[in-house]
Amino acid sequence: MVTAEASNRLRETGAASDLRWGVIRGVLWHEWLAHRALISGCAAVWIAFVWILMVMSGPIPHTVFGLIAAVAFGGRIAGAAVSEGSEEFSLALPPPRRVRYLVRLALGLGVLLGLSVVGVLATMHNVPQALWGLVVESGFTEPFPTVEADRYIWAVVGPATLFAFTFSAAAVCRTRGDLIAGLLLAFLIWGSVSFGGALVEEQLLYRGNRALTMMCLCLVGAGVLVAGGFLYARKEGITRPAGASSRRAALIWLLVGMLALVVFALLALYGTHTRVVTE
Amino acid sequence: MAPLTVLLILTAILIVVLLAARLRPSATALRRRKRFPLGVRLACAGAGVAILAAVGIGTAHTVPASYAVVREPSGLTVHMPTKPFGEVPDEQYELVRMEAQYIVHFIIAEISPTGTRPLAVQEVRIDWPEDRRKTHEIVLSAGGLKAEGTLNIPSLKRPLRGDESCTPRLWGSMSFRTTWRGGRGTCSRGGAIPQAKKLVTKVCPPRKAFSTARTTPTATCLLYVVTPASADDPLGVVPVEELLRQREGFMRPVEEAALSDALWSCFYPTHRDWRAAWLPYHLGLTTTLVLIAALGLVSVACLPRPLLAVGVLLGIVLYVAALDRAVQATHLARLDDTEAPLDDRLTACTMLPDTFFYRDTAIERIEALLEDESAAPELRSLAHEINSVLHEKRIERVAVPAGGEVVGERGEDDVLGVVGDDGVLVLEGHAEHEVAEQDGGDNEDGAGPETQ
Repeated sequence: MVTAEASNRLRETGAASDLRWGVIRGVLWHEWLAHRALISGCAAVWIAFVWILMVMSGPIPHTVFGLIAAVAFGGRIAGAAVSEGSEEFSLALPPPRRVRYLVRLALGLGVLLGLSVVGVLATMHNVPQALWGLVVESGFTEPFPTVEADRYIWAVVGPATLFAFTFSAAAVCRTRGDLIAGLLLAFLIWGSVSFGGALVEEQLLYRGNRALTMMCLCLVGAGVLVAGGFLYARKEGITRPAGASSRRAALIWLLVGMLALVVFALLALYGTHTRVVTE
Repeated sequence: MAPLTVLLILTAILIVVLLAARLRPSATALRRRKRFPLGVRLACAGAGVAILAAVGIGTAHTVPASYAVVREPSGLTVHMPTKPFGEVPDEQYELVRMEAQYIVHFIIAEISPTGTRPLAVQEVRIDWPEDRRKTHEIVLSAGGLKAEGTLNIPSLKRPLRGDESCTPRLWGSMSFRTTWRGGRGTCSRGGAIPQAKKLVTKVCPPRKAFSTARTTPTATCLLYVVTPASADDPLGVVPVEELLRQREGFMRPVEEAALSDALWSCFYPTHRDWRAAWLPYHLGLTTTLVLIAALGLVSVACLPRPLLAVGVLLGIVLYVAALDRAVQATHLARLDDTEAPLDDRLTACTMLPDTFFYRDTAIERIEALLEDESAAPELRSLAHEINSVLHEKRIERVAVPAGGEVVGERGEDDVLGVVGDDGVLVLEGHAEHEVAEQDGGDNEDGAGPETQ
C-alpha cells in the first residue's frame, strides 16, 4: 500500500520519468565507458578511410567495413560481460534488464547506422572531395564513379541487420565458447538469408536490386532483436566457465559454416552459369 | 637501401612490440601503470617527427639535384668515316657485290629533356661482303641496363626513295636479352634495319626515399646507329657525342620517342582515373612506407585516443600537400626566370607536372607556355610534348547539360562522363564520342580510336 502511494506520488510529480531517464543515462554512460575504445577506434578508422584517404570509394568497401563493425559491435557490446565472466554481477545491478538491453542496442545500432549512413551519403555525393577541394586542386578532388543507389542501400541495411543477429546472439549467450559459436551462427543465418534471398530474387524473380531480400532481412532482424530481448530478460544469471564442450561446439559450428559457404558458392556458380547460358 | 630497410623493419618491430605490450599488458605492468610510460611515448613521437622532418629535408635536397646535372663529355670514342660513302649502284646485284664497311654502334644512353648522355658504346664493324655470314656478338652494360645480343647482316637493300643519306640499308636480324634492376626482357628485329633505332628503354629512375619529389625523368636506352663507309676509308676516331651530332637527323626521332616514354611513364598512371588511391603511386613505395612508419610512431603517442591518430594522419597528408606545393613553386620560379639557363628551364618545365595535389596549376602554366611565342623553341616543343601527355590523362567529370547530346549514348538528362578539352566525352569503355553543342553544332559520328 505504501509502495503504491509512493508510486502514485512519483508519477504525479514527474519524478518517475526523471528517474527512468537517470537510469538510462547511467546505463548509457556505463556502456560508453566500457566500449569507448572500440567505438572511438572504429570511428577513427572510418574518418581515416572515408574522409582523409577516401579508400571507401564505393558500396563494396562500405559494406565490408560495416559487416566487420557489425560483428565487432554486436559481439562486444552485448557480450562484453559474458566474455569477461562478470555477467552474474552485471545482472545483479539495479538497472532493469530491459533497459540495459535497449540501451546497448541503441548505442551499438546508433553508432553503426550513423557511421554507415553518413559515410554512404558522403561517398554518394562526393563530399570528401568537396572538402579537399578547399585545400588542393587535384588527386583528392576526383569524384567517385557513380553506382546504383540500391547497392549503397545494401551497404547500410546489410551491416545493420547483421548487427541485429550478432547482438541478439551475444546477448543470450552464457559462456565465452557459446559467444563465439553464437556469433558464428548469427553470421551464418544472416549469410543464408541474405545470399539465399539474393539468389532466389535474381534467379526466380529476375530482380537484381535485392529489395525483397533487404525487406526480409529487416523483418527477420527485428524479430531476432525482439526474441533476443525476450530471452535476455529471462536469462539465468549464472555464468558457466568456458569449457571443452564449448570449444567443441565452436568447432562444429565452424565446420557447418564452411560447409554452408561451399554450398552457397556452388549455388552461386551454378546460378551464374545458368544465366550466361540462357543469355 | 639496406639502412633504410633496417630502419623500416626496426620501426615495424617497435610498433608491433609496443602494441602487443599495450594489448596484453603483464600483471606487473597493469599494477604499475596502464599506459605507456611518458618517455616511450615522447621517444616514439620524436622519432616520427624526425622522420617527417627528414622527408622534408630530402625533398628540399632532391629539387636542386634535378638542376645540377653537369654535361661533361663521356670520354667514349668511336670510329667514323673520314670521307663520303660514294655512289650507290642502281642494281641490287651490284650493291650486294660492292665492297664497303658498315659500322653499327650500339649505345646505352641516358636521354633526358636536356640532352642525350652516352654511357657505353660497342662498335660492330662489318666488312662487306666478307662478313655477310658472320654473327656479331654484342655485350653492353651501363646505367643499370645490361644487354647481350647478336647481329646478322646477310644482305643489303637499296635506299628508300627520299632517303637523304642515300646509303644502302642493312637487311638481317638482331636479337637482344636485356636485364635491369627489377626486370628483364628480350627484343628482336628482322628485315630492313633502320639507320637508327631505340631497342630497349628503361624509363624513369625510381623515386628517392625520404623525398616526395621526383628527380628528372630520364630514359636509359639501348639504341644503335648504322654508319656506312667506303671500303678504303681509313676511319677516324671521334668522341661518341660527335657521332650523335653527325647522325642527328636519325637520332632526333629516337630521342623524342625515348623522352616521350619517360614522360608517359613518370606522369601517367596505368589507369585513367587519378584518385586518392594513387597517392602511394605518386610518392613511390619507399617514401610511402617511410610516411607510414612516421604515422605509426607518432600514433603510439596518441594510443589512448585513436582519434588523435586520425589527426596525425590528416596532418601528414597536408604536410605532403604542402611539400608538393613548395616543390611546384620552386619549379615555377625557375621556369619563369627568363635569365636562367635553357637547360634549367627545360628541367623546370619537365618537372612541373610532378605534382599530385596541384595539377591544375601545372596544366595552366604549360598551356600558357604553349601560347607564349617569345619562349624558346625547345621549351615550347617540350611543353607541347608534356601537354599531350597531360591532356591524355587530364580527366574532368562533368554533367552534360540537358540540351546536350551524346552520340552513341542513350539520351539522359545528366550523363556523368569524362570530357576532354576538345569536347570529347570519354566513357567508361575508353571509346571517344563527340558531344554535340547545345546550339546544334557538329553531330557527326565521332567514334574515335580507343585511347590507352
